[in-house]
Amino acid sequence: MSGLILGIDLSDDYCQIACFDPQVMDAEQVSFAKDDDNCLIPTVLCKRKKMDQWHIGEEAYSHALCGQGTVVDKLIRLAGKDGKATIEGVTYSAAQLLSHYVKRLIEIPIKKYNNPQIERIVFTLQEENIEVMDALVKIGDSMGLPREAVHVATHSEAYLYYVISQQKEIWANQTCLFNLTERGLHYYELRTLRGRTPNVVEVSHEMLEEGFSLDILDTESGRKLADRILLSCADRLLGRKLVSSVFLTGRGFEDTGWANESLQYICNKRRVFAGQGLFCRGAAFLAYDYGLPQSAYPYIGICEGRLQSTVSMNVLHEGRSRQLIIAAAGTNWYGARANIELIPDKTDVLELMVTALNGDRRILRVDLDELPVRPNKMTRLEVVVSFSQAGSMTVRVFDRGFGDFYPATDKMIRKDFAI
Amino acid sequence: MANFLLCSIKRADKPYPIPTLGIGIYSAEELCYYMNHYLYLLEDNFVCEELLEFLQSELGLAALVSKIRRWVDGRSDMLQIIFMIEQDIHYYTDGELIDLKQRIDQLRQATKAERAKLRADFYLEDGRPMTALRVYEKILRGEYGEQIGRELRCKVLHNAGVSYARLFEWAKAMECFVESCHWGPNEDVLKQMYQLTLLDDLVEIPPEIFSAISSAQQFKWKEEFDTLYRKAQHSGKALEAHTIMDKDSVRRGEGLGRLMGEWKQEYRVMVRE
Repeated sequence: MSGLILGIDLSDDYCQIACFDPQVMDAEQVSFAKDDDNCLIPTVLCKRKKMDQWHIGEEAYSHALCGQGTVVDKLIRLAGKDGKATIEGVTYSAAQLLSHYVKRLIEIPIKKYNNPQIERIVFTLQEENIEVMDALVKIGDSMGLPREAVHVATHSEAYLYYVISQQKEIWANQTCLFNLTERGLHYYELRTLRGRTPNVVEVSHEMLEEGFSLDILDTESGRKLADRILLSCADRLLGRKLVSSVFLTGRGFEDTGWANESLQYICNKRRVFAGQGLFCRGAAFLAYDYGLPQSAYPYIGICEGRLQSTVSMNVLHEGRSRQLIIAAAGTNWYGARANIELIPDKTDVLELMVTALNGDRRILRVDLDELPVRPNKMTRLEVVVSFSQAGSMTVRVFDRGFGDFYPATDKMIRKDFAI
Repeated sequence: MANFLLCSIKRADKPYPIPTLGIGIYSAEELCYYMNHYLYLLEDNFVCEELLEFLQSELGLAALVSKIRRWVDGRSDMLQIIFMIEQDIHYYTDGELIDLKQRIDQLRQATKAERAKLRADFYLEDGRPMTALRVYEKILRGEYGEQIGRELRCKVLHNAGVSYARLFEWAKAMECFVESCHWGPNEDVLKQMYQLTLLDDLVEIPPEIFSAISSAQQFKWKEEFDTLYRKAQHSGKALEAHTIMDKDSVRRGEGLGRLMGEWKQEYRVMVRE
C-alpha cells in the first residue's frame, strides 16, 4: 500500500487537510470526526494536566473547558517569532508546540484511511516565514520522513495548483479568489501568459485594505456593510477583466447569505464557487506532482514563493559546453537549494547567469581569488546555492581540495545576491 | 566558453591506493591527473583487475569498464586503455588529449632505455634527483637490454650531471658533463659546465674543453649567471629566509625552525632513492 499524499493548510485560526487519491486523480478534504462534515480544525493545542497528553481542535477546547488542560493557540504566529510558552512550569518552544499539533493533525487522515504511511506532505501558509517553514521541515524529519517528502508552499502556490488541476474551461480566462478570514480579505488573481514555451501561469496576491472583522456579520447592518464592501472590491478588481471563474473561500464565506448584492455582480457571466478547502486541496495536488519524475503540468508557475528567474551557469560536461540550470524559474524557493561540484579551468571567477521570464539576463560574479593557489584544474569546488526568499540568493563556495594531491582546506567564500 | 568542469562522477568511499606516491585516488579526475602526470612511471600492469573493480564499484563507471573489457579481450595495450579512460572521463580538453596522445605514441615507440630515461627525467623534474640518478646510472650500465646510442648516452650523461648538481655534488656533476661532451659537444652543456665553476671554484673544466669556450661567450655566460644569482638572492627560499630574519627574536626563532624543517624535508625527498 502506498503512503498518504497530504495537503495541509495551516493558519492561526484553523487548519484543513486534504488527501490526494491517485486512483481518481482528485484531492478529498478530510473531516475531523467520522460523522462530521466539519473540515475546519481549530489551531489550538491543549496539554492535559499532569499528563504528557496533547489534544488539538475541538477536543482541546473540551478538555480546557472541563479544567483538564491548558490551551495554547496562535501556534503559527508563535513559531514565526520563534516564541515560547510555559505550561505547568515547563517552557516549550514554539517549534515543539507546533510539532505536537501537527503530529496529532496528521493522525486524522491516518486514522480515516487506515494507512500509517505518509508518502508526501505539502504544508501551505498564508505568508512565507522561514522560522515556520524550517520548523515544519524539522517536524517531517522527526517523523522519519525523507527531506524530499516534506514541502512548504504559499497560498498563492496552492491556489495555482488547485486551479490548473481543474477543467480547462474554468480557467480559460483569468480566475480570481477572495479569501475572507479573521486575518483579513485576500485577493488572488491567476492568468496564463501565452506565447511562451512552456506557458507561464502567474498568480498575483494582495491583501485588500477593505478587509473587515467577521464579527460584523453577526448583525444585519454589519452584513449589509460587508456586502457593500465586497461589491466595491469586486467591481474594482473584476470590472474590466475577462474572468472565467471566481472562488470564494475562508470562514467569512461559509455562509454567503450576507453577500447577495456582491454575488449578483460576481455571478454575472462568471462561474462562482464557494467553499472551504481550496488551499489544502491545491497543496494536495502539488504534493502529488512533487512525487512524479517530471511535473504533470506543462506550465511554469510564477507566484509568491516561486523563483521569478532562472539561475544557470556555463559548464563543461562530457567534453561539451552546456548551460547547467541551478534553479529554474517557477521553482519553490525554499526547496531550490542546489549543490554542485566543479573544477575551475584557468579561471578565478565563478559566473552565474540570471534570466528573467521576459528574457532579460544579467551575470553575477563570485571572485575565487581567496582560495588556495594550486596548479590548474587541481581544485574541486563545492558550490552551494540557496535562497532565503524568492528574491535573495546566497552562493557559498567551499574548497574541497584535490584528493590526497591537495587536501581540502576550510576556506569558504560566501556572496549574497538580490535576484 | 565554459571554464568549469562539472564533476558528475561520484567520489569513491574507498580510495584506489598508489603505493609509489603514498596516496589514494578518490575521484575520476584525480585518476586522470595521475595517469597523465605520472605516465612515465606507470608499470605495465597498471591497468589491472583491481583498477577495473575500482572504476566500476567505487566510481560507478560500469559502461567504461565494459568497454575496456571488450577491447582488452585478445589484446593488451595498457597505454591505449589509459587513453580510453582519459577520453571517457573528459578531465582533459581535446588539446590536452592530443598532447597526451603524442606522449603515449612517443612512449610506445621508445626503447626500454628511452622509456627509462623519460622516467628518470620525470623524477628529476619532480624534485627527486637521487631517484633520477639511479635510473640514469642503470641506463648507462646497459641494464635495459640493448646497447644505447650516442645521442641517448650524451643526453643521459648530461641529465645525470644535472642530478648531481641538484644534490650539490659539483665535482661529480662536472665529470658527467665532461663525459657528455665527449659523446657529443653541445653549447648548453658547455655553458652549464662554465657556470658550475662559478658556483664552486674548486671545480675545473678540463683544458681541452675550456679552450673551446671563447672569452666573449664566457663574459656573456657570466653575466647571465650573475643576473640569476642576484635574482635568487631576492626570491624564493632566500627571500623567505630574509623575511624571517627581519622579524623579532621570538618570531625569528619560530620561523627559522619551521623553515629548517621544511628544507630538511625537501632534502630528504631529494636524496631518497
